[in-house]
Amino acid sequence: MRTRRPSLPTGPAGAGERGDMSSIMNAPTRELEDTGRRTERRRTPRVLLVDDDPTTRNLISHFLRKEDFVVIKASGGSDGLARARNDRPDLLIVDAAVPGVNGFELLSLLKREPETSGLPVLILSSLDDEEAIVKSLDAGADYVIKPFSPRILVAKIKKILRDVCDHAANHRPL
Amino acid sequence: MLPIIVLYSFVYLLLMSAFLFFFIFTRRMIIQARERVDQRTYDAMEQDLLEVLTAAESGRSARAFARKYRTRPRVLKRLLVAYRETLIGGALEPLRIIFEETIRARCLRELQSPWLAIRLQNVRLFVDFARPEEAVHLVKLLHDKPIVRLAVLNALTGIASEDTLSVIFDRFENDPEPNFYSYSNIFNSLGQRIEPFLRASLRKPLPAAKLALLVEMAGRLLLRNLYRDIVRFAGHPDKELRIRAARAMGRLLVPASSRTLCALASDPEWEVQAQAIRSLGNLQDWKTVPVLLRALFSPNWHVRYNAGYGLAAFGLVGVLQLQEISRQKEDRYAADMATMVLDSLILTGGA
Repeated sequence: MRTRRPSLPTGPAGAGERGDMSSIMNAPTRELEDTGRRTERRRTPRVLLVDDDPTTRNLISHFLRKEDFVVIKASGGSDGLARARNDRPDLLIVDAAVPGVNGFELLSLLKREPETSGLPVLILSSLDDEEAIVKSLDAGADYVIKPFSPRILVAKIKKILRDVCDHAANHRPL
Repeated sequence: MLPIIVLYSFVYLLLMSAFLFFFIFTRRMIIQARERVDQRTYDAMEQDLLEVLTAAESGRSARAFARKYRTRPRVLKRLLVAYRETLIGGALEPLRIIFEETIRARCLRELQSPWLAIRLQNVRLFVDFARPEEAVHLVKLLHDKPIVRLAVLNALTGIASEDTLSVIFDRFENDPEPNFYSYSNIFNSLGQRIEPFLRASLRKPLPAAKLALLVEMAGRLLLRNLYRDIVRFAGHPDKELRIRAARAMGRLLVPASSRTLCALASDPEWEVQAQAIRSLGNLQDWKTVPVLLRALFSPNWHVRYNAGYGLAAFGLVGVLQLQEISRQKEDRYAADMATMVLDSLILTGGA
């Protein structure tokens, strides 16, 4: 089980407080380029975005970068799986109908591996289908229906990371 | 002489082939060059659009974007179509401003384009950015290919204001060759908000086929307030209209309709009888059981079938009646139908 805790951005009053978002932005981070090349710097939350639609990829990554996230992009399921194993993102956003290994298969593969089983996942899909939504939630992933509001998506991502941060802090060994 | 003709023919064919080859090659080069330029413009435009979407004053940024790129309508249209399909809610507002200030007039013109792909691209933009007064241009495309029709339906449903509905109904009433399938799709997607327009149209002297569709829609959308307008078609000379009226009454389930349906159960046309009996089955009015029993002895199979299942819908009382008929020997066809209905009730558990 992965216990690495993403540092979330904290506000001025709560620097260093558990679950405070602006501490993520200010904390030491490691930046990852889209090519997968690593540069050890300061640690900001990293989001792996797997979607074959370039418009969705560009839109989400632009909004996330504006919020100081590092975005790793992949256009296929197999590529996404490799990136998730190697780059250790803090959150995975995956399109349900991505070519190759689809979003649900990717989710189940990641949940099976101890290294990635704790990775929070957000499934994007144009299917407003009850079955698919229930399947995602059962597998521990959140679900966002396309088309979407990027501001709401970013807020949701921040909340997921904050929850992960809270959870990690609450379960830290004394 | 012959070799010279052959030689000239050969040279002519050679030149012709060379010219064709040159033409195809040059055309391909020009298209590829244009695509490369377009892609570069698209990428630059996309970056600027993303800045617009995240800008604090997105309205002002959108206007600046529109001024900058209004001379590149083809690429701009591609970009707006892609982002319109990805975004929802307030994020579409900057796109609307850009659309209004750049390519609206061009898109309206191109709705008449002979190319399907261009018509479809333009209709897709109108799905989110159409104004009510533009409904008239969109309604004309209800005769188009199915994929365009579907996009038009989406666009019209999105701008379903009073003005739009009025335009749609005007168009329907005056359409010399209406596409009933498309109109039924659009009325279905608009839902119960069409009630006042439907009422007004039902009171007009329209052709029977158009009235039949309107009556059908009133039944499907469960517009019970239109019951009085529908019931008068029960005596219409057109058979199809009487069938639709009977069907609509079977859906609206207004208790008062049982008398009209009983009258329709004795209609000279078996199709009307069958529909009226089926609607009576839906209505489940105890007073109509004798009518259903009589219908079980009809010479027409459909009437007997609907009467059998209509009786079964009454539960135990209906089942007892069916058992009695299945045992009688006077009418073998009625007995067979009753047996068939009872068998199917046993097999399906009455479902």
